[in-house]
Amino acid sequence: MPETGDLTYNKEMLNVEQPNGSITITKDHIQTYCDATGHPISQDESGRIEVPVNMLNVFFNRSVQVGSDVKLEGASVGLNAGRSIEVFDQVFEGDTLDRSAIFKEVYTKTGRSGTMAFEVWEILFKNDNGELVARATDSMVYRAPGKPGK
Amino acid sequence: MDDISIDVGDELDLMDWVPDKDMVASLMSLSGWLSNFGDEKDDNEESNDSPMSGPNRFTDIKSAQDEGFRGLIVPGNYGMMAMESAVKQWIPSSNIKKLDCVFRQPLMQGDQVQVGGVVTDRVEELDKVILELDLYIMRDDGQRPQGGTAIVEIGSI
Repeated sequence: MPETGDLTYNKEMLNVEQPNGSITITKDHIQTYCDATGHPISQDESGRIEVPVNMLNVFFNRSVQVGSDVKLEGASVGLNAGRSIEVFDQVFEGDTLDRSAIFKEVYTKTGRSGTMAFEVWEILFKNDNGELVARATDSMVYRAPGKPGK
Repeated sequence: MDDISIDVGDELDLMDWVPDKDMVASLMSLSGWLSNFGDEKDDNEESNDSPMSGPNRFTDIKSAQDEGFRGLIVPGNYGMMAMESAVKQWIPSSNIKKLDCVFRQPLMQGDQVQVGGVVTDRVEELDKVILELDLYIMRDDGQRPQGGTAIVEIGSI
C-alpha cells in the first residue's frame, strides 16, 4: 500500500466565501458548448437562448486569493472525485454571473490504494441582483500515484 | 413517447459518446484553461497561466502516463455534460434542476462509451412533473466509471 502521511490545510479558510470573478455567457460560448457536447440548443418562449445547466461547470473556478493549502504527505496526484450542480433559476445568453468560492470541508479515507484526502469546495453563481442562481459542489481527491500506464 | 407520460422504470435512450481530444480542447478553451497555453514570456515576467495551461493529464500523454494513466483522460465533469445531453435528447422539454455525479474511474479520451439511465421516482405537482433519474456512463466492458442522480422537471401539464 502506498505510504501517505500527515494531512495539513488552512483551517482559517474553512467556510469563508471569497469572490472569484464574473462571467458573461455569450451566444458563442453556448454554441461552442453545444457543438462539443451534443446538447441541443434550447430557447424560452421569447426566443432567449438557455444556458445548459452543466455549462456552468465549464466556468467552475476555485482560484481564490487565499487557498486551502490542502496537503497530504506523499499524495502527489489530485483527481476530481465528484461534482454536483443545483440550479435555482434559468440562466440565459448574455447574463453576467458573479462567482464566489467557499472551501467547505476536508477529510481522509483509507482504502486499497492507501490514505486519500478529499477536499470539497462550493462555487456560487449569483445574478446582477445578488440572487443565487446555481451552486456547484466539487470534491477533489489526493492520493499517491498509481503504477504508470494503467 | 409523450414527455409527461414518462414513468418510473422507463429507461433513457442510450447515447453513444466519444469524448475525443477535440472536444476536450474545445471545452478547456471555453474554460480559459488553454487560453494562454504556450505564450512566450520574458524571463522576468510573472506567470499568469491558468491552472491547466501547461502540459497536463488532459493534453499531454507523458504527463498522463507519469500520473499512472494509460493515455489522456477526460476532465471528470465533462461526463456530467454528456449525461445532461442524454437527458435533453430523451426528454426535450425537461429542465435539470440538480445533477450529482461521482467519478469512480477516469474516462479515457477516444474511448467510446454509452450514456444511459432509468427513472427511479416520479412526482406530479400542479403544473409539472418531477422525475428522479439514476444516470451512468458505461464502457464496452460493462464497467461504469461515472454515475449520478438527476432531478428533472417537465413543464406544464
